[in-house]
Amino acid sequence: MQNQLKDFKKSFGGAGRASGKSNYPLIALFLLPSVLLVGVFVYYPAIRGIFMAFQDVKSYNMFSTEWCGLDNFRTLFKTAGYVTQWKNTFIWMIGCVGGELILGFGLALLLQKSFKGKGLYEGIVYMPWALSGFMVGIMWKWIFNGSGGVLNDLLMRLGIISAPVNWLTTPGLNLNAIIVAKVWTGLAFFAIISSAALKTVPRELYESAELDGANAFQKFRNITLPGIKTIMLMTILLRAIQTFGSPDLIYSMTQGGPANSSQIVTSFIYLNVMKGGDYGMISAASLIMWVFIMVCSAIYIKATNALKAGD
Amino acid sequence: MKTRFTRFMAAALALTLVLSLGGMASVGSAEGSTEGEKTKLVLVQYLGNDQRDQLIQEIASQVPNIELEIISPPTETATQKIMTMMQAGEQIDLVEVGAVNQDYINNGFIIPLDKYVAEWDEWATVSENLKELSSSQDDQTWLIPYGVYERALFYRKDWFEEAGLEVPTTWDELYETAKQLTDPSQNRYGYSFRGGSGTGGFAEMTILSFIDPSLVSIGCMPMTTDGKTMFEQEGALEAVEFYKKLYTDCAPADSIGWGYNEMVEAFYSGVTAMLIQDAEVIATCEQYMEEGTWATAPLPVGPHDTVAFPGGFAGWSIGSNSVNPDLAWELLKTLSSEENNTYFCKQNGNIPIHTTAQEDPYFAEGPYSCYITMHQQPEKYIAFIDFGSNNFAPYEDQEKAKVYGDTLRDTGMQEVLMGTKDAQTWLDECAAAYSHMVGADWIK
Repeated sequence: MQNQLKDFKKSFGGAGRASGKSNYPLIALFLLPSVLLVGVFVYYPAIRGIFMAFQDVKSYNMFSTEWCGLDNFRTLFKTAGYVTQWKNTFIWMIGCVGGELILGFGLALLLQKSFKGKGLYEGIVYMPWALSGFMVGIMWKWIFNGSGGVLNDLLMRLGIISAPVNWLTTPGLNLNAIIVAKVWTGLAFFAIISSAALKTVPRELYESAELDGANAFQKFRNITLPGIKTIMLMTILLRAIQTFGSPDLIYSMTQGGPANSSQIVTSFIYLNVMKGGDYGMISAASLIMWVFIMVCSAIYIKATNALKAGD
Repeated sequence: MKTRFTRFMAAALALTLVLSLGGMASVGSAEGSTEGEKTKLVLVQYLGNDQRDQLIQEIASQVPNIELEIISPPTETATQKIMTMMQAGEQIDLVEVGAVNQDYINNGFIIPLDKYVAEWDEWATVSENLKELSSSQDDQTWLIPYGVYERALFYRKDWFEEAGLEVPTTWDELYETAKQLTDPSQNRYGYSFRGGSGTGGFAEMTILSFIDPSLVSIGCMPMTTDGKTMFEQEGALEAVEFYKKLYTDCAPADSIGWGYNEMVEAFYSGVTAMLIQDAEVIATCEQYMEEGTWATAPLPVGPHDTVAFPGGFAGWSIGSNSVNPDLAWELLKTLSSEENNTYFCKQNGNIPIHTTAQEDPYFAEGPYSCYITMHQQPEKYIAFIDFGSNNFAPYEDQEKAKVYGDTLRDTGMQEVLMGTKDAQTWLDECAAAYSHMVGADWIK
């Protein structure tokens, strides 16, 4: 690592310095556009958002900079269903990441073996990952439609249900239905990562285990799992953070309803931003979410370092 | 070394700034005024579609020397995007508005039109009601409406004839008829119920149709003429219970998630027998349903033989960042002339703004005729300004009442429909949300 750093310094700064010229201005020039763009479109809105969480900014006084202390947070905590939003957020994260992990990993294991048309099959399986969340939401909304949805029709034809089920409008059922849609679109992510992770496990270990008479479960438990543990744990943490911040399916399928029964924190923020109104309160909600994500990220970084150290 | 680096950075920054300014200047000249002899005007709308854009362009072509750019952000996010454009100071010559937009006025995003309408001959034939709806409390005119969206009853004529049923004229008849036409085993329901986003609006309409009509404040809803709120009036509880009954007995349970699209689709796709919606649905029915299978009727009335409904409309305001407000007015005046507005409304499914145009056989006969019937009896069919109180109440008061829109109007009503909150509790909570406005001087 130290040598790599030296090589980098040599190629970008050292060589120029040796010839009496520095390459730092050139580096700075190349960096300038991205620094400006990231600064204007990421850091400025983020910092402005932090300030707005403590300011009285409403749709009718958008330019206000009047400080209001913790009023926005008080309003937020008094909002009906705020506790439910957080409860739903954890169900959402655990349900989505758990489902994607189990199905994605299972798929990756199946795809380890070669068969005719494997490439095409992989392409079809991975396709949902490339689709827009809103498009997936609209599609699944019609699949789950209580009056004329494909799922109800299919289940009734098969005799599994006798009357249509209101998948998206029954509290307790609707969030699970959206999780199914999310797992459908996200399992490809885990399948790709798991597939890549499985390829890093040396084949020789399996051959040795076979010579020692190990069965499939023993090979999986003692070779596969330890071999992919690092990558998989990092992937789970990263995906949990991503899932936390994705309101697209909830917004497009139920808009968090009925009566907030499928609302999560990010869909609440998204819905209120679109509706307009109390931007101070929405910023306060975003700030709390940001702190939560920062904590998760800190855990992620710490876990990554610990796992690297373990290696 | 440091000096050279600093000089280089300063030069790079200066270059970037110059290039940015150059970019801005080029944007400015493109948007600024003229391209050759034509001036570019920008119209921003929240209800755009290709057909309507072509229609506007067709009418705008009558204004010499302009080139019109129409910007239509996606409907769901349009309000926010238009607000952002205005906040950023972008050129907007005409902007579509659904009411006298207090946020735009307060932020200085639009200009008053009084000096223009004072010199416009055809302003005289614009409906007096619309003139009132287009002005703020200080009587300044902020927009020119382009059409009226009023509710009517849409029904499946073929199903009614088949079952030998009469078209309902009262809410009770509507319920009984809808119940008779409901057959879940056939996936057929009597009424297209809006239980999702916007359900509170239909609940408000029901409440105002059940209370004493002399208490209905046309301009200050949800306040009533006695200085109280509509939620605490006699008849309000009966109305909410009726509304819930309509959902549980005559509509699919799934309709608790239905918004505008779902309720309209359920009607034209043959799931529901009746629908209460605005006039633009006529064009949808003409497109998707066979002639003779559907018809419209005046809204059913409540126990006092009256019905109250939001007198919806939309129009255009002139943006304060217009490059040429006078030319923007020329365009707006052309779009709003009796001939052009009538043509626009026929294509767009609205009721024209000029009273004289409503005599046109196109509107006086066929599916639009129910609106003429309703207009002829304003005491029976009461059009109110949706949340007219927002035009008069101080911002602090509006802010205090925000809890109604945020948690009670739709979400709270959904709780009532699902049975997790009782109707009286909901009414009490709604009344409490507006209790600080009770007895205010501005209520009329």
